Amino acid sequence: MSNEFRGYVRPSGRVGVRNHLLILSVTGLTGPTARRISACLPGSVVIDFPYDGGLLGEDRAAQDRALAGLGSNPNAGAVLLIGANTVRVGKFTELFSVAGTPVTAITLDECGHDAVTLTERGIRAGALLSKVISGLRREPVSLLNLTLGLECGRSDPSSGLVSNPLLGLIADRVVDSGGVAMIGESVEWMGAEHLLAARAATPDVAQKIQAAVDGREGLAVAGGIDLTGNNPGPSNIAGGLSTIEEKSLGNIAKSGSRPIQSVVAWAEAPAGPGFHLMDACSYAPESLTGFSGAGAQLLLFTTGVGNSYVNASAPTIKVGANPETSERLNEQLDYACPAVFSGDMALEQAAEELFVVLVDVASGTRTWGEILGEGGESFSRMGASI
Amino acid sequence: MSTRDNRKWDAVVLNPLDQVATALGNLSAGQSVRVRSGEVVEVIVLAEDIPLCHKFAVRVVAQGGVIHKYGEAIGEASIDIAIGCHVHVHNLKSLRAQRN
Repeated sequence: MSNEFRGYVRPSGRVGVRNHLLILSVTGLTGPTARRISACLPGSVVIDFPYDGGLLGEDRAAQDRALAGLGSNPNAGAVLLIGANTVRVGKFTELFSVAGTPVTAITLDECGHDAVTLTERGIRAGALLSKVISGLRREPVSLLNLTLGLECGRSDPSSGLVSNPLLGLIADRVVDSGGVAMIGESVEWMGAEHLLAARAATPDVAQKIQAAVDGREGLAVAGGIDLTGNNPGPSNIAGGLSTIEEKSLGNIAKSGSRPIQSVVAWAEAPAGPGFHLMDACSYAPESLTGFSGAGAQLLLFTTGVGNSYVNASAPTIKVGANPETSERLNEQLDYACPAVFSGDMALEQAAEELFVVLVDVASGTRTWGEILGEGGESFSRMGASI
Repeated sequence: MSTRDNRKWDAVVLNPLDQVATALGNLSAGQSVRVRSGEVVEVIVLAEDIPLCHKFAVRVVAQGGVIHKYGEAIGEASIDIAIGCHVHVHNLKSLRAQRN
């Protein structure tokens, strides 16, 4: 099996696995207009960031980092930027233009704060961008151009036994090819942090892994919650997971076996190739946006009992091994391997099959989540607004 | 009733240190189930129904004893647990994020 896929090589040299017209609204004020424009431009992807005014400090930095990352994700062939004021929108226009992405910005300031005018101008500008990027073609590229985000949601013990170790084999393969792979959900390192720390590339990385877990554990204790019933949540418990330790030990199997190069923050792009950890929340919508905001073009997402959510920016390949779920969710799981769970198929063989699916999706085959329009973006808040 | 009557085993122990096995099908109280641990398959009589993917004890665990899966600690027994019993949130307690 070749270590190549067919992608869109961007002016920056980065490679997209999709060629989206991204309609990016950088303030909640223009969210409805952005959605209206997108409805008139079939195939466009809309991201309507719901905040802006009053964001502070670390929170402001995190949101701007995520917006910059989503707009410069190579899956975006062109960006239609929608916002309220020219100064704020101009910063993003400059950023995306420097990367060579075709970008058109329109603000409410320039439309006399008339949303109807903004809608009309947006549709015309978006249509033109769409025409331009429709002329781009895929070409063969190496796997080293891939940044992979690895997620699990509504897990059960089949995730830890089969699906997550399967993703671990894929992560190792991408890393060995010179690409990037990462997991987040740092609360689900708790109880397994010693195994991650043992793989840290430097003592500083090991210390950051421990600090990330201590931070999440401290939040749980300070919040007065019992993790049992929260994480693992009700569906995890019904599926057979009993404690956070058990869930974590299954979760980290997604990380494979290669050295851990760094611990990044939510929506922060890793600085180099290899395997990385993202210290971010475990709620899937926010976690996936953390990955696509950090530059991941492709996501792999395991589920035990079923989870339909996918990311809007990055195709999300759903993987399962629970025999009941595999039989039931035909239009959700892009790859199911109940035969590994039952002991009738080797994990390594499943990894070969899943790798074929990954190359196919990276080269243009649509995931169930894309076909059904299950994608969204969700922004982690780090603090209060003024 | 086992959904895996034609299989060679009904449950797996993932690591020799583990006191629990994971059910590979919906298993019933009173059933003699085949439990694989590495290359060895032993028979255990279930004391309770064990749903697909849930855990049961393959060794006696005394109250306060640390329970292992994947060869790692996943919590401690909150009561004495006998062989063949369901091991879950009613008798297995996390050791993490506890208020002291």
